[in-house]
Amino acid sequence: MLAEIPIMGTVFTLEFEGDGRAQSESSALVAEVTNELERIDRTFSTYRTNSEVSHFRRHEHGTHSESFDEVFALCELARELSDGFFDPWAVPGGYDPSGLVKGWAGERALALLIDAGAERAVVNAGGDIAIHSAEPINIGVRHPREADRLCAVVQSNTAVATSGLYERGCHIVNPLGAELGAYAATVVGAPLYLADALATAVVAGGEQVLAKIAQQRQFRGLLVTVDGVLRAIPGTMVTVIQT
Amino acid sequence: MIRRAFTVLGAMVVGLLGILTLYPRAKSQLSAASVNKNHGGSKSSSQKAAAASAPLPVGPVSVTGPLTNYGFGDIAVKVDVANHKIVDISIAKFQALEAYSIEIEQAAVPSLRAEALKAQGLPIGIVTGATYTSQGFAYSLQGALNKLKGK
Repeated sequence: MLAEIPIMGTVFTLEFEGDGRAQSESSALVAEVTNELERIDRTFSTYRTNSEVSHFRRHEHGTHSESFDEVFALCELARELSDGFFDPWAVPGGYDPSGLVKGWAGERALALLIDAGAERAVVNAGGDIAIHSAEPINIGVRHPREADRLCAVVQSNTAVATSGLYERGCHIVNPLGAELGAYAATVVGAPLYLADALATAVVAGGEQVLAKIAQQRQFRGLLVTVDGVLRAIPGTMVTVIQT
Repeated sequence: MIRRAFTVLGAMVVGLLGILTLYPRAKSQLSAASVNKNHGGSKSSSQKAAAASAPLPVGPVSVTGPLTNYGFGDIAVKVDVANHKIVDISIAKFQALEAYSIEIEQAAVPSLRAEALKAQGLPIGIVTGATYTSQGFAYSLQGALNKLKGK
């Protein structure tokens, strides 16, 4: 079953397999995931003036939902893991967890598919991918300059995220106020929201952040500099596609 | 500015491979040095991946992947194999909503076809960093490859 859900300014693709599931059950599951993603969007969207995050940004403090508190704590964790280069508090307009929420929503969607008994499931949250599979799958890495070409292939059965300056609505800033460190970055490893946040951090801080990631067994990654040089943590790629 | 920053950081960082320059016209001295030094590492890992993937049949044979509805239309991908190699990938069936058809037909599909031919049977089911347009193509291609490999 393959389903696409347009949400959060992008498209979420669900791909899942389980034995003997009826078409109607699969459709109900897609509807359940859609509802959850819409709930997340209503809570966290900075484009919705009445979202919980928008209220928080306007300093209209009330009681927070469980999801809000969880994402807030995960943003702090991601900031710590990235040596401060992923910083949702450094964004103009105040706290903006968008860079983590898409991956977090991807993990939530995957969890719903696994709970429903999917033996193999892939959630593609607009190019950031959460995977549940016994075998690793091959994932093409988008060429940073040309949207319809690949520059490398990585393998994972957990998660892969890519951030790049080519993205629509890209607002990556270096919290130190210096120039950005990379043109694009891909991080392999779960959970997806940390991979996504770390990929954003590598774009902000460059090789220094990639080296920090290399110290953690959980993640692998690569970056492409503004000059087009591809640099990778050993073991990240299964192949490089040369032009 | 960025290049200078990398020279400084490069001295501090150990264990990162500079694999290749994606845009040869802009090749910097730093990248040329690291490509030479580390080329062996990247080569061995790609050889390992090639050995791990199942062989394609001798052919000649043509297989069409599943007609995939991906929300904005339908796509089915046909793969032609001869002498254990993919010799062509074509669109057996394609229908899309008008708003999306231009983007998919003119940009994503022809180039994904070229990329899949280049990857030669390394089944790439999904693309990170890309928009949704590639997914239906990749899903149907994967189905065709699975059929060819007897899965």
